[in-house]
Amino acid sequence: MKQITIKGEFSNNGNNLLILEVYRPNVLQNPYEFKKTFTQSFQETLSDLVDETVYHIDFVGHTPEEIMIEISGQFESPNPISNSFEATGFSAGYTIKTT
Amino acid sequence: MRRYIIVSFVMCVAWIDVHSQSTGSTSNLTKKNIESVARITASHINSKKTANSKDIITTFFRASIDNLLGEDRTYVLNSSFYGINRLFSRNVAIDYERERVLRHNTFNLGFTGDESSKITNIAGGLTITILDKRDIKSERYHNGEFNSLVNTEQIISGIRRGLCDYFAKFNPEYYNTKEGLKIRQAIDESWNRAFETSNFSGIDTNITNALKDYNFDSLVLTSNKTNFSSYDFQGIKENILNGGNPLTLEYEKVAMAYAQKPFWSISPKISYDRIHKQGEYSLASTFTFGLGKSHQKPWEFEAKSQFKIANDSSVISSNYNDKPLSLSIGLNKVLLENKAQESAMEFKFFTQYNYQFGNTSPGLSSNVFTLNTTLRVNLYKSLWLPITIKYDPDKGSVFGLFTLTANIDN
Repeated sequence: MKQITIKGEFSNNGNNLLILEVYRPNVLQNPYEFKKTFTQSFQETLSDLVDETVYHIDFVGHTPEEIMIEISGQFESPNPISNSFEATGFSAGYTIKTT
Repeated sequence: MRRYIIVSFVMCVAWIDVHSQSTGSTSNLTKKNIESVARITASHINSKKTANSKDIITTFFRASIDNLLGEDRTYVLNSSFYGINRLFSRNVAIDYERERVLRHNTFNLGFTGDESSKITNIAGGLTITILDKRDIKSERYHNGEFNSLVNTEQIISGIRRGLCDYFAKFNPEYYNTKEGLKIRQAIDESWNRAFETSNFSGIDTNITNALKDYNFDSLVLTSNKTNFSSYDFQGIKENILNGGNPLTLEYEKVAMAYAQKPFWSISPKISYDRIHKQGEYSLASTFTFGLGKSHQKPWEFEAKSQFKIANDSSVISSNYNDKPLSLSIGLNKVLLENKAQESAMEFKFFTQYNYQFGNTSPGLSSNVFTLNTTLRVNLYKSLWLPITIKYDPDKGSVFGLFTLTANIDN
């Protein structure tokens, strides 16, 4: 099993929302489903990912100030993955393959 | 001497502007690892407020020169307590409720100089926020403004999931080969770039082809666990296909809705008249809120009052016989906006009633009613030139006031 860590850091404490999804489509072998909603800074570690398998990680939400996100762990380059969004609604998705 | 004062004032404003460009609170995530550095330059909530409302209270620093062309000019520097805190504690994160209190209260220092550049008056005061429903970062005044945005986010999440299910079903090679993984990651980069730049014109054709396929709709709606409506889903999908960014559009609506909410402040002030060697005291109140449903070039209602106790200069001895009460009601309208949809020119019409509770000079009335207009023109960034014209219908007289203001916001 492989592990990834997803961090989200909001620069303010009010009126934030981030929907985090980590998944692998049901039509494929080893489907996977993880969905969680955050309103404050968070760190989530998933340790049950199958070796050498493709997963999707999606972020959708809004913040009136700034959020920085980072994905790190046991997956192929590019690693780690970081991004930030400022005073807006945002959507970003990433495809990784575990090592 | 006058040139020295003006140059010093401008340099002070410039110094504060340079030192106010802070990168924000401490973060454990280092920016050096950022892969995608494109940031949406979506308008911040503060940029949606009118220049008229920013003159009431500044979020950071504000400098002004009142009565620019008159004989007695007043130089005023306003600062929020938050601005001072950020200057001296730049990298220390503070709790938002404490930050809110610091942002919502400001102090000001000012001095008035006559035409021979002699300082005739020194003043200091506070502006205390009693009510500010415009604060988009606070959850206190939620009234459903975010509901549509949250619904849009659920749908975007569903569309993202639908795209992955679609490619897994109709393009399984994207998951089984090294080349397929690169194509999948390129699709992600195209999606991310389109949302960050709000430019969907060059979005990956894999995405547009999928969105146009009727199979895609059934995949999304079948796996719809948040129960968004098919109608809303179709609307947002069409928005994306037509090049629009539904998230930015919805967030802008929320920002504009907040910018129009009510605001109320009071401002006590003490000044020292160096000519008559005595103090002056005043208390002012300002209340504003946006009007109408349209958030483009909005209307703004404003009610102001001020009571002052000062020296009657017609009496030689020290006294407090000048006690004017001033009441005004007006409407402010944004006339022009720049490309970022921020106000660039505003026009305000307001009536003002002044009543003198103290001594009135012979030949003058104790109550005066005037009709007034203020045209605010944005000269450069946060530098504004408000020009006020006052008309006294009883006397048929007109006079004008020029002011120069700079709001340094964060």
